[in-house]
Amino acid sequence: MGKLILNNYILIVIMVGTTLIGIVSGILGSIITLRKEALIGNALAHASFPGVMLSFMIIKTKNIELLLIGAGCFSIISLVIIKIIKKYSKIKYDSALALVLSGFFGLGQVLLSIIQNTGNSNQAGLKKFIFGEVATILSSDIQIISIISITIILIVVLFRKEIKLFIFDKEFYKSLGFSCEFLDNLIILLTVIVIMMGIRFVGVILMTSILIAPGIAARQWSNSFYKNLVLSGLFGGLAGFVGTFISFKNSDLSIGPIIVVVVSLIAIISVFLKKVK
Amino acid sequence: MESAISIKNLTISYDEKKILSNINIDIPKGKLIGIIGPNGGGKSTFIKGILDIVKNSSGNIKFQGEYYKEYLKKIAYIPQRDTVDWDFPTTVLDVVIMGSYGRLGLFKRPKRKEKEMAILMLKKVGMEKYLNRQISQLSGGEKQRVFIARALMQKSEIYFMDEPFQGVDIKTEKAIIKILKTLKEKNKTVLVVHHNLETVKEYFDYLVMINRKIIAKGEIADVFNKENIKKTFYRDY
Repeated sequence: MGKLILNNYILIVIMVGTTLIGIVSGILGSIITLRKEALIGNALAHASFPGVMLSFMIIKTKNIELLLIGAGCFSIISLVIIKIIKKYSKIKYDSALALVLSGFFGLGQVLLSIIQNTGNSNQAGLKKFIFGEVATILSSDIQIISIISITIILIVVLFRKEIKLFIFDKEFYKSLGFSCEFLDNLIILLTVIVIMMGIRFVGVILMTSILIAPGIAARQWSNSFYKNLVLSGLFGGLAGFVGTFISFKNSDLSIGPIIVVVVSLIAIISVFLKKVK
Repeated sequence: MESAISIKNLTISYDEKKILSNINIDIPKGKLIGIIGPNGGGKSTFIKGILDIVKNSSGNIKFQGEYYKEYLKKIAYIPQRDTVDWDFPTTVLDVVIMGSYGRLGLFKRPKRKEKEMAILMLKKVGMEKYLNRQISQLSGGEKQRVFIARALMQKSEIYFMDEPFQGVDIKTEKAIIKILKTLKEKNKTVLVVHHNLETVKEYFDYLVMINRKIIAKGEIADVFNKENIKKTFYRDY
């Protein structure tokens, strides 16, 4: 009896976390897919991996906040490198993205091997950042995730009119005297924060799916930008909720991959049932 | 002659390459002005430089004595049609309402007043039937009409249009030119980047001929001649 309550409490805590992360990654993912920058999300997520490892090498304990800050820093470093390549070399944009994405992920693996060979007993579990692991999530984590998620949603709601025009018609947006750099940086920053929250649950490899799939699904159902954001958030949240539930019913299935399968199914079904031209 | 825009020593570089150099011109107010020149001659850059969309420009630009930042609510701009993502999830009405965003400013939402005004503007361009249509389903001419309606929504003093007749049907072209002439009659200034030399005389009353610098400027009758056309389009660099 006591075990059941305990289990349910964990279930609720995790479920709130995965649902919230599903919602915010859906909203941000919709924005980045409409900007045709889905691969940026992919690169940022993969590039966060060596950040986690390097943070660990410096602090030598698994302080999750510091590990995630390392992750965020590396996402941003990867973006800067992509932009430098784009500006100063003849390499095509997609090639630059692929190069940085796999290069950073490879670096992460190398760092992980080094850490594993040092024999630091704290390192157990670092590997979980690849595919995600929720066993270590605490209710205090969920509080932080809730606050950040709500803040992200409020920011998007506040700037929704500007974001819409910025994505649709950048030149016109500029001619009204609005700043492109500001929104560009804001969208990237929010995406990096979502990735930082999400990689613990689904891992750096699968993070892209929960960013991109809800946006793709939403686009099949509506021709309105705001409805796309709302639907995308709902699909992401639904996938987090349902995925967590399935995972708890079948304890041998880990949460991250299940969420990704659910959200991908939502996207595939939506594409087949496509409502809008 | 009253001037709408006064430009002094404008130079625009892109990646350290000079696109336009040493532009000095007074754009007259209340005229329909054509901007012509060869591809890559800097016509679009000229407009974008004036509108502060392209940076790296040096020089002094004043709009009836005011700087761009002070004057920008009285400026409407229609970018080239293919710079926009037409698959973006939005409707005809929504795009026209975007014309009110500048006046609304940050965070403020368009309300019923803006919606009603947008419908009125759509009527002016003959697109009121397509109100709720997804923009990806419009033809080239229809897209351009929507853009014109959005510009009208801005209720501006100066209108900048980048190749508005590119790839539109002849009926739309005539409809647009009629609207532009109405704006001129209301003493608004309209600048149009244009490439069809055959219609220059019919459409405009003032001409700016550009190829990396201003080759000629003035009333159509004074500057639109063989010599200037040759200088603008066939000059070797």
